[in-house]
Amino acid sequence: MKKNILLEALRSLANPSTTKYPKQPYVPTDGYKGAAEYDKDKCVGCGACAQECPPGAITYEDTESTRKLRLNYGLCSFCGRCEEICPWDAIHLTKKFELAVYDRKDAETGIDVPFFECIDCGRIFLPEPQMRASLERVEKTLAKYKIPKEDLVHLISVCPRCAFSVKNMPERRMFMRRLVEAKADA
Amino acid sequence: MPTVIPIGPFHPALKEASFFKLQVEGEKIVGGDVKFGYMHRGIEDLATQKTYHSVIFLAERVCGICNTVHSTCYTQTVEALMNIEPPDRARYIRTIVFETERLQSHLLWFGVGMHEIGYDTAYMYMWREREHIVEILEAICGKRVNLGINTLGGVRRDITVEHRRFIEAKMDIIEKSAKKIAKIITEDRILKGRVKDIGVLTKDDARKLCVVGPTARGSGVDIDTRRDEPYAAYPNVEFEVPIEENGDILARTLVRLKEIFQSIGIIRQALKNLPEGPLSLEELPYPRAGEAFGRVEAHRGELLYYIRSNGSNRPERVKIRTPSVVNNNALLPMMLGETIADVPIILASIDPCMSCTDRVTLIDTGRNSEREILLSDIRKQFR
Repeated sequence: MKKNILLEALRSLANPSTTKYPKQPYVPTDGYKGAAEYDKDKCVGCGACAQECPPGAITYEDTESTRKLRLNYGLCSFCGRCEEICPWDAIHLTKKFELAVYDRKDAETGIDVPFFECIDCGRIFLPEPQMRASLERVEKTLAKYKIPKEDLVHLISVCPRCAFSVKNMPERRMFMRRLVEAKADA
Repeated sequence: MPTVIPIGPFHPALKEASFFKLQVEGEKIVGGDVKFGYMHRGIEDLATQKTYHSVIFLAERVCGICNTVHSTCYTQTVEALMNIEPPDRARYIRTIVFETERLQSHLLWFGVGMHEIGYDTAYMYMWREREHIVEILEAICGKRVNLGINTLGGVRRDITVEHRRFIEAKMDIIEKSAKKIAKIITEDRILKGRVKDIGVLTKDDARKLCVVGPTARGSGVDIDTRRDEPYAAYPNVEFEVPIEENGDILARTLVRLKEIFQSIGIIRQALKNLPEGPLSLEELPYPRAGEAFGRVEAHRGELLYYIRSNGSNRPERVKIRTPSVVNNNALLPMMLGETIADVPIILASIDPCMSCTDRVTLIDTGRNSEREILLSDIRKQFR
């Protein structure tokens, strides 16, 4: 009996099953689902994460000039759905897990994305990086039809309301016609 | 006139809020009442307000210990509604995570059971061994609980070659320690004295009360959804369903012990035969309007999901029948005639999960009791 106790004690000394945690920091394995963080260079502010977030931890608020995306760690369930859904690869789960804070307001992360103003009426209608990224995405397709990118810039720089105004309609129709003709040629 | 001892709903001996009203004569229990419902969270209603994909994560949060069980059952039910089959590799990964979770749940149960009868050394042993399994889950899924491995039409994470080596090494450790646990349970005389012929549930009672899982198998009822209605990769792996005839706590313990070895076998087979291929389907159809049932063998018994769909992106009704709901009915027949000191281990022996249970309230009155106030109270309340 005593022999067994001694053996177990020696084994635990040689190969302890616990660590001195706060002194000896714990490093999670690769692929650990910790606190999510935005990539400031990549995020375009489309809000797909806010729409899909299962517990509703990600919200956004539109002010006059910026869209404020906020991720509340208190509500986050660290499921990684935002990382999975993001079309721009702009939010990632990090290895951070020590998220205790004194003030509730500190338990959040977020990103402010500037809005793009309609060049005709000055109304905000789309986050600026999203517009830029959309333009980049269609650039290849436009090049296929031999249409320069600059021809599109004015058309997508006006808000939906101005785009259908009498002033802008002819340009819009001309562009559509060019697209159709280019497609027919191809 | 028997004395009434109320335990709960908030009591140091209970880990989750529940209420037990036991009628005793001296030390002997002659009647009682069990009341649940303190952990009600309205999950079924919440599920109808979220999209099909979001409910996966909600289903996982019904219970912390058996979370993949819930998400697997839910995804299988929705996949039946969508008329899709997940790829082979996804089915094998699901099986591996499912069985790994069964291992950690059973080891956790052994720890809790040992703690209830005051054998804290063994409790520490079990939980130390359980840590190895939680490490596997963390390596595969990135989390220790609420794994989030399942998605509609497949799984979200792959098992790489390194993972495979890691799991195989850990399985050897677990098998060794499971043999040690088997030695403790079968050879320790004091332990045997505490659990043998205590809390007996006869085969007849087990059938009448419709108990499931290890509770039923400990009483000689031969049911196991994994074998009777195979899902995931279970048709392709070989395993046995352990049965014990005695129906006492020792029998239920032995069933769980044997299941540990079976689970290790299943994980090894699944790892060996892990097919190559995609992890999940690229495109998902809308679920058809209609209804579907899903069944899986959770660690505590058979889990059942019923989903009614109206063809939109949100389920119209989600009904969850957890194993603890039916197993809790068997508590009173087990307790009658036993002493108060045996109540904690009898409670623990069915591995009850109050937060699983509390979508319904169940009522049972003592047979020899003269007070039936509680029953009428509840009847009035829920009519």
